[in-house]
Amino acid sequence: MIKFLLKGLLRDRSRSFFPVLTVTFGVFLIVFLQAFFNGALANMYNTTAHHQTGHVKIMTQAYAAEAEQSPNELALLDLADWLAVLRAEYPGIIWTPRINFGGLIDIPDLNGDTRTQGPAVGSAVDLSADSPELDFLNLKKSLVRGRLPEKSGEILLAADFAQRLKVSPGDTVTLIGSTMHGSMAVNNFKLAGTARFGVAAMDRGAIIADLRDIQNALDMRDAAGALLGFFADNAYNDQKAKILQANFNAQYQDAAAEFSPVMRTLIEDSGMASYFAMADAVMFIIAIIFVAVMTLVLWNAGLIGGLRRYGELGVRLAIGESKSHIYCSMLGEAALIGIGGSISGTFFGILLSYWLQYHGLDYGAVFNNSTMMVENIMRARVTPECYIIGFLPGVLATFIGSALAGLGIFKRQTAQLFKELET
Amino acid sequence: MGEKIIELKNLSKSYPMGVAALKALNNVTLSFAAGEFAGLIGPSGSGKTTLLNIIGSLDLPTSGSAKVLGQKIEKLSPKQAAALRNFAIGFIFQTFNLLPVYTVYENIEFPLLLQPQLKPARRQAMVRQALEWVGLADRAGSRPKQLSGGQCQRVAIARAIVKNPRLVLADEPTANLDAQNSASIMEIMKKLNKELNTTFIFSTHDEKVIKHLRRKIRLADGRVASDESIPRCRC
Repeated sequence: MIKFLLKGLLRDRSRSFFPVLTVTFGVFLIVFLQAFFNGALANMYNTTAHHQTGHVKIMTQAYAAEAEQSPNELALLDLADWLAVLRAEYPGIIWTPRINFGGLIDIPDLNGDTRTQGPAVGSAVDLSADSPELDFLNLKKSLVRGRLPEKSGEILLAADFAQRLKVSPGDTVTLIGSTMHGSMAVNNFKLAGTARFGVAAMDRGAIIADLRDIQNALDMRDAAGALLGFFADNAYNDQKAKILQANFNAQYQDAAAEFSPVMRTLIEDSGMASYFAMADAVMFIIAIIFVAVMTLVLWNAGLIGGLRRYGELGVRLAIGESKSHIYCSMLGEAALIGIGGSISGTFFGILLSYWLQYHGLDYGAVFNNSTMMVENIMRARVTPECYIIGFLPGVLATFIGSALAGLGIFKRQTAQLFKELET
Repeated sequence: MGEKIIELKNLSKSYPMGVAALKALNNVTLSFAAGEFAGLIGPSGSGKTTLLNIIGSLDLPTSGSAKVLGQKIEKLSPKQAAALRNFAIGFIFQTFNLLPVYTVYENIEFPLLLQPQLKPARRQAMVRQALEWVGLADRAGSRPKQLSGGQCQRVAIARAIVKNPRLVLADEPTANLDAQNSASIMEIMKKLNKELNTTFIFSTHDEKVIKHLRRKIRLADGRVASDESIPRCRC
């Protein structure tokens, strides 16, 4: 009997192929949307982590209190010692120092007089060849002209900023700022290249320089504004970050000593805890709404599939099949269709999501005037829940749709079904 | 006269129609013996199909009793009614109602699949036999849409008789057929009635069917207007 019913199911495209196609499409959309939202959220976390906070960040307590002003006079000292300790105690974390600084960029003419000037914000990072910062800031791919700084005294400028200042690789650029001790600092650098960072806020006026050059320029020997820590898998995990923070702060933080170190998580340090929570909630709500809508669509498909078979059901009843047997066979078919459609929908959804995870989608034009730290390349992110989320509406909705349609068999008198068969 | 296999006593059936009720059957008392070739004759709305549905355990009477093959229809649970149809009653419909995705063989085999005690070899033999009866052995692998109307109705007859039912109920079986096919179908059913002693009850107003009947029960407004029998020819 099962073989007989399966044969009918496979041969009747309107009972098998089209419902499976509907479920496949619905599940595909759900899976892709989930991966897309995961990617969008991970993108926000990663952008903030890579450009601003790390997954965890260590600063002096004094620096942390005024971190938005980048107060380098309150920087963390004994940097080499701290790096050695952290790398020994937390080997699973990638530690890298940074100095954020602000200043005036002055472009001299041939006589050494100011040709153009502009305010700039800068990040001093480790630009040595094996530094993880090259990947975190995506510097190699961001290059527009020239090359990455290789020698001491070379810097990188945002391409749009360089264009505004009318400087080209090889030109001299003067940074006018203040040292760690409050005196004026004037240093000449050579422009090694220009870059488009893919972050609209940075592309308008950022400098990337090697950490050692800025330490020298700002009198910050063996000091850094902050030490950033990144999880080895490069994915922010708030729970892991909080455990790490609790351990570190318990060991090293001294509330009474303002220059003792303190660790902050990405969520805390970005000042966007509520923003991330809201984004998380909004994405969850959108995903739920979408799943609910798809559930209705698939439910309806199951219902229509069941209703259009009243004729066939009438014949089967007349031949002597019991109502419960017909009902069970309908539910069995619905389960098969739901599972089949969910498997193929999940497959195609994951496939497209992986493609978007590796290739990304450039939507930078949307953020041209934005100050938000958002990467221009949108990537999906496939997580374990992407493999299962589609099965909930895919199987359940089809099953419930058929179950409701099948209830009609019980509610109607057999003779009524029989009459419907004749019409 | 064989044993009585259907006994209908004071059978009435009403359908609610707004505040009033439409009386489809009104105090019908009839009985049918095994091996009869009988017809319920009358115009549309006379109650033929309703009576056929009650005999076939597809519907329940509003009052009165219907005893079919020893079982009281009004007392049967839906499962028992299904079992009665499955094992003892075959249906032939006006519009054939073959399952289009299945082959002729599979359509005929379907009622037997509902009898799990049948072994595949026995099932196959029964289907082959039914195909022989209706002369469609060479079309076993065809789909219904590849057959003519007459051939489809022959498949429907084979499906109804494949399980060797004691009773076959045929609702306007020739309504969609031309004269030649109607005659051929009726001949097949007469042959089966004679050879297998299967009881056939028709619902019809088609003269092409009526002339073959050995018992003609005329219904009018839900009542039995006349009941006329022609003795079986022993030639």
